[in-house]
Amino acid sequence: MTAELEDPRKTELRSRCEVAVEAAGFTVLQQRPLTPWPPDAGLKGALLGDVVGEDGRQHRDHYFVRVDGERALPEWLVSATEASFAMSGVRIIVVAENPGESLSAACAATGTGLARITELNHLELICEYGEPQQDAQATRFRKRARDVRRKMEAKAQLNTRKLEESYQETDAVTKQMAGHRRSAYLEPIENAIVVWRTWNEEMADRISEALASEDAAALDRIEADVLRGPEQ
Amino acid sequence: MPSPSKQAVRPDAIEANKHNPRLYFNDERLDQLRTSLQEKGILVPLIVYEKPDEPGRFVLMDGERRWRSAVDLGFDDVPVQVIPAPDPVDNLVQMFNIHSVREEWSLVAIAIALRELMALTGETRESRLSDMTGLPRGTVRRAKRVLNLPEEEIDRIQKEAPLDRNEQVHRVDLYLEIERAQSVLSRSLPEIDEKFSRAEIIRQFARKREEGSLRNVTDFREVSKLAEAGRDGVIERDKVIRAAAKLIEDVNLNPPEVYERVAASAVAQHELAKKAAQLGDGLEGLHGQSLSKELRRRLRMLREEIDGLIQGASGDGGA
Repeated sequence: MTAELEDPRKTELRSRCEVAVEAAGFTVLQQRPLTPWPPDAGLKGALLGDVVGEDGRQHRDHYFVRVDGERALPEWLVSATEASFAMSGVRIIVVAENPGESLSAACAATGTGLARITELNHLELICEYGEPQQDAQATRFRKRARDVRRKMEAKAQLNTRKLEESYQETDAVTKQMAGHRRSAYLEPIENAIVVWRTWNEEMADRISEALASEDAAALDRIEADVLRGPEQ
Repeated sequence: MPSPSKQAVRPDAIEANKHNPRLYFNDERLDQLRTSLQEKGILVPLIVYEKPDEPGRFVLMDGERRWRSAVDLGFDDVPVQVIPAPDPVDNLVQMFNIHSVREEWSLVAIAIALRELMALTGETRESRLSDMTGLPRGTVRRAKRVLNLPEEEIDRIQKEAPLDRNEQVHRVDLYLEIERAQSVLSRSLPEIDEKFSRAEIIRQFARKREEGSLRNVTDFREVSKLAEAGRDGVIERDKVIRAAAKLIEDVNLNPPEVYERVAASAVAQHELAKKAAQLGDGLEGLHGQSLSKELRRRLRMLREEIDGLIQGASGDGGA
């Protein structure tokens, strides 16, 4: 699989992870297999991972390397882990150089495996992979967090799309204007697009953090901020 | 022109557009998109063209983030809209239209694409480049300033451009400040150019940031002020040249500190002397007129201040 446009820090971590997996006695599969999700998981794509290691019984560990170990576990990896519990012979393990509290807490809460990669390229297991005992309240919380994220994304997409259309129209009608006059029309739209993008990213991070810590009060604040939108 | 056709292709049949100067994506920044694509799939097709010499292989025009995420998420295929293969100039112009706003090309990415466009078309005028690319003229101007930097410095900026701003050491705004300071230094004190090449000065100034000797990228504005003080004779030219040379040689020296030590007081006094001359001119015009109560009060206060200052002063400290 091509690694074009991949973050070089990730490419490096991926190679180190391969070394560590081999050192632990697993076979690193050079042709990483695409393992389909269970039909009722409702996920697109397939289980892949940055590195796939296989043991003698053909059990596979799918390693996902994370460049920034301080960030909370993203939702796509949480969903991947949840779906993987219905699959046999696979485990999902997140690998980071210095996993922070937020990542560790999220992995422990969701049952995602977590390993620290040492300077000598060894993997130290921090969280075991395995289906957690989730109570009904935790499940409700996760569903609510997902709903908040969807609302936030829909709002950001709608506004960004409108601004992009406005940019295209303004771009066309100001073509003949002098540069500085044209910029006076275009730059505010560009700035507004950046505001929405930044807001979108910040909110997504906050939702991931609230999810990791199961912080209902934080989610309340985020929901209120989503309703308000970014400060323009 | 044939109309674009929609189809689905395997992600590994697609490659990045070599005219796109973006090197990579900050991995964690793709998380949100991955979450969305994992849930809904790719709703808006990527825009690609088929390689004329390799049927079945495609080059990306639009949708790099979606493509990169689709690869990571193990998508079997991705929806694409296939457009006719553009000629190199069209390819670049379309990339500008697609990326400079929607995909947030960094200034260094814009500069590199602009350089290619200038090489392909021979066009270097700001207004024409602005028309062709849809970029505001101010952006074209700043991009051309980036292109004036030594190649290895451009590489440094480009490699870090996808990182979060607080992780970048070689930020484009740092280099724009450095370039401005170097240019004022050269114009004001040509003797400096005899001792150091332009590339050397830029490298040494960038090293100040690498070594943590700067408080802010705007610290370099003090270099310009120092050079102008030497040029205008506010302080001895030789003294300024020595200070500027030391500032270039020693990467641990901070520009505002050097300015403060060498020139700040003399420049402040020079400014006050100019204001005093202006005040004198203004007062001269008031001879024979009645003075307002307010002005008389102010002038008396000023006279007391001036008398005190002159009595306490040690002598002529200026150039």
